Amino acid sequence: MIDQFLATHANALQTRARRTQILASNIANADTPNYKARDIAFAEVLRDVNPGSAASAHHSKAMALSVGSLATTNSRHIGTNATSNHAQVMYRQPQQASLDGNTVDKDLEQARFAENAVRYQASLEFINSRVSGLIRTLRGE
Amino acid sequence: MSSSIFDIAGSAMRAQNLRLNATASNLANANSVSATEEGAYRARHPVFSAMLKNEIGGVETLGVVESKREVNKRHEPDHPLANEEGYVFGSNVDNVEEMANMMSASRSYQSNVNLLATVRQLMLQTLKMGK
Repeated sequence: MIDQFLATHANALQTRARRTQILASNIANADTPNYKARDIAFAEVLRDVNPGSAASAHHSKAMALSVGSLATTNSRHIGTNATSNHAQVMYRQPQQASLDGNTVDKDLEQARFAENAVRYQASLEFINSRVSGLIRTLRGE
Repeated sequence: MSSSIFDIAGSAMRAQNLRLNATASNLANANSVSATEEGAYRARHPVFSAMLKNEIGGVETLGVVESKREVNKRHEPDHPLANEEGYVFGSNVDNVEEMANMMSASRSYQSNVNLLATVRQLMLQTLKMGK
């Protein structure tokens, strides 16, 4: 019950943490020959974990119910508890080719890292307010 | 299992630090001379490689290689180290290249320090979750 209550934000937080790691690896390997920059497509991950999130606000109730699991469209499908940890890592399309085969754009990676950190904090903030809301309800204040 | 962010950024800082060390050594020895061609100082550069090829990980140094550029052979018969023909052998360090290397290394180092500071802050906030 509490899993579902926090699911979207918990998943988002996990994916953000994973992305932080990937971006850190990109920045660490900014001077490594033949290193290819990587990233995960966050929107797609969240859509996989949370089918219906792309739909309009009308479906927000249906969405909340299916949070945390993959949609099964056939009775023979096996339902899974998809965790965002299995987000597919993809290689970035380089904007500019470099002679040593490295595709890291240092400034871009830093900008993405900063953006990711802010969004991580946002997810954290959402979880915090949900928890404090829950505690307030339990106390009946 | 991939390594932690602190390991990743730490490995990058260690690598960039080694690069700065090599640059310092090269610049310090830019004017070193030797009596023989083999003894001449050759510019040293570290070779970086990604730790884990298909996983998320940091950077490691495979080794330090010496530059294969020709050493600076000068005719200075009055030099105390000159050989019978009057030649001394200077280093093959390119000052401009070393300065560019130094700036690149220090920028990369700074990036990783900033990254660590941000991640540390995020982790501290995560510890306070739900309070």
